[in-house]
Amino acid sequence: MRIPFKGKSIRWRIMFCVISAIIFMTLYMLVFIFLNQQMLERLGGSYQTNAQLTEVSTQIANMEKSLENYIAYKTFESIDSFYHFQAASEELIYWFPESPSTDRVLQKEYVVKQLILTLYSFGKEAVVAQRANNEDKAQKWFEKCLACYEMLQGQIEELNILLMRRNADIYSENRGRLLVLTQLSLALLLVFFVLVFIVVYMSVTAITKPLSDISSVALRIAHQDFDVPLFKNNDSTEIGTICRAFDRMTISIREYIDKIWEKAAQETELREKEMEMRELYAAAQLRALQNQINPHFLFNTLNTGAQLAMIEGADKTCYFMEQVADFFRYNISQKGQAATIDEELALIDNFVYIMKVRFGERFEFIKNVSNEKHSQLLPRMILQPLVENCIKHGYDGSKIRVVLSVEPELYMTKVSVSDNGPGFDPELRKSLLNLNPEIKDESKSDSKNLSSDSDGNGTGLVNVISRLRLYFHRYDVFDILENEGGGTKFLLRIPNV
Amino acid sequence: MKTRLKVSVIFLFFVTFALSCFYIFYLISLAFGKNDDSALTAKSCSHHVLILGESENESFLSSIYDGARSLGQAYDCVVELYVPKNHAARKNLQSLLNFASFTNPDGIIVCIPESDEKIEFPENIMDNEIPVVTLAQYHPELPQISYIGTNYSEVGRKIAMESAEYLSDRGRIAVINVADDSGPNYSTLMNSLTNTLSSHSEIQTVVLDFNNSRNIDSSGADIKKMITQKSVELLVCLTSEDTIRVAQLVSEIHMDGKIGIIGFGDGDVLETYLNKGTVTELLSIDSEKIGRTAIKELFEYIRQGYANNYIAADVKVRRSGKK
Repeated sequence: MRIPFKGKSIRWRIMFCVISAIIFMTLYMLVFIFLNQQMLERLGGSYQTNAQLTEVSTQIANMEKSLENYIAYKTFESIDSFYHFQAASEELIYWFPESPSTDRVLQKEYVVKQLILTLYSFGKEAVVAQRANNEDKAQKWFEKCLACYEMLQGQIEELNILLMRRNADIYSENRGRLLVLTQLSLALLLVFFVLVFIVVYMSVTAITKPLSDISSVALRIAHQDFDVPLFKNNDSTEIGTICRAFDRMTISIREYIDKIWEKAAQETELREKEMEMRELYAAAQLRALQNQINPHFLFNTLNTGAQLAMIEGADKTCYFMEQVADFFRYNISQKGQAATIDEELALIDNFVYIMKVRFGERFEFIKNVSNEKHSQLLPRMILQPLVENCIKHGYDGSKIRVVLSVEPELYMTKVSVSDNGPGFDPELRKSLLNLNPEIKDESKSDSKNLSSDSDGNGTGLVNVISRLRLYFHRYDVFDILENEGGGTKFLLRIPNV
Repeated sequence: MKTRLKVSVIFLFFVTFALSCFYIFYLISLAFGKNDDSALTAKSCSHHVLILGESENESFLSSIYDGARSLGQAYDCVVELYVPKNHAARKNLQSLLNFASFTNPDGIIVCIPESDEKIEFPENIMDNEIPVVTLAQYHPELPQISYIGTNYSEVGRKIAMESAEYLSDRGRIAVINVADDSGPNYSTLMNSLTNTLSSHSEIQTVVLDFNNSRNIDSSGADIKKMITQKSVELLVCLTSEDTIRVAQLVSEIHMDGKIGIIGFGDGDVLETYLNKGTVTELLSIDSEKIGRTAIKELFEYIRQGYANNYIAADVKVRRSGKK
């Protein structure tokens, strides 16, 4: 049911309903009491005309008695009484009709009035004659008075009976009316009570229905069911305000939950990445530890050999062994996981000297590096595997040329290692570049497959690419290109930060 | 479904509310409505006319009253009948006339009885004579404006003619006289009747006058005997009392309709006997017409200052359906 007075507050509406019901019922009760009072008055006044007629009769009788006394004794008191009672009776017969009537009672009242007026006239004549000491005439008029009075009493009796009958009918009718009025009023009171109850019930239900909806929705939300409909109530009432606030609260809770889910996903992702890195690092560390025994022994042996060569005067051998020892020293030393480009370049120098000794004139190494300091950090042992890879796969048995370039740019430093070999297998290149170290299982399987292709020093391209991407969180940090003039070119984009 | 229920509830609500409002107005009309609307429908009139008479003539005067009252509206007058209800409440005519004078009516219609009592006509409060129309007996010394009387000679003639017609001019008639009524009107009636019947040579007329010599019981026995012996074909009664008495006797011996009765008079009892067929024909004075005539004469006098001095009442004949 649509409640009128839209926009009014709940308190106002409920108060209006209750007060309206009270006013309505009170008004009805007042009407009921008023009508009952009216009927009771009418019932009580049913015989009023009889009482009035009796009073008229009494006054007329007193008047006649006074006249009788005056005629007999001629006293002042009697004449005063006569006029007094005449005046009193005149006041009482005002309701008698002035003209004849077809109604029986009214006609009788008319006749009574005519007789009373005649009685007044005769009485007046008798008094005038008595005052004039004309006793005969006074007696004559008094006798007429008596005759008239006697007839008047008879007519008054008849009128009284007529009035009594009519008033009895009226009384009976009024009693019936009072009974009907009381019964009907009580029935109507009951009906109105039911109607008012229905109206108040429907109104209050309509007013509180939104509250019920709100409570059911709140219960659903309390049970973590956030898929609830929005109220979209634009009323300016308290309900409207609550609905809008509830809508906002529901939306906020949904957004907050979405954020929490997003954040949790991100944290999980980060945690997985960190674990992956740790895993890779641990694997590298393990490999390093496994290799640590031989390098230490080899390193000490090389140092001993270098001292022997220096004692024996074999300077080249001594230098060679020192370079090999430095190379292994860098390899063994674990000063954190990261190294600068310059440190990596120094290692390359050692490695290239060793490879020069091995390959002689067949190995040409060109280093295009400026004299500037390159302090950008990158994981250790990145460049050496690349150079080694170039030598290993680019050497065709005749001559191999490896070019190392470092090109500082505004936001990054490009480090490239290229060879003049037969070039890189495209499928293998695609597999390497599509390698995603953040997908744990895939990266593991891929790295195993790719590592199987790369034999030798144990640090394959897979290891290099994975470590670079995990370290810089970028995919474009490493690329494999075709070298201009043939061969393969490894390109590293090291951020300057 | 829920909406339909709601609409039904609202519809019922409004219907109940409308009915309740109707009943509230009904209650208000109950509480404030007039009890008796006879006073409201009553009409005030300009004139007041009284019809007076003694209790013996009550039936006759009631008919007069009915006739006079039928013209009351036309003359804007209220007509009242003042007749003592019974013999116990007997008042003489003079006291009734005095009463009438005390009420200052515009006119009086009075039925004068057959008596030698002196009647003093009333005056109103202003000592002016009240116009009076007299009925029944005519007293020349009374200051009436008009007299409406019965032509008993004509009535006697009419009864004789009806009797002759009933007997088809042949048979025996018994004229019954039981009641104590032997005034001049009765004599006139009887004379006219016998004179007219004497012209029919084949009709034998017997006058049975039980009034002087015998009591009522013995006269009744004689009448019964006469009826059972079928010595007469028709009984003629000249007063309403005689007619009723003879009709009762005929009913007692179960001879209703087997012997003719021609009666004279008016009233409910006679009307019943006529309807039953016990009384064959009933002649009566048209008293209602007398009442209407009296009112007309009275108001002609009030308005124009003159009226007809003497008016003869019409005689009406009613026949029983069972002849």
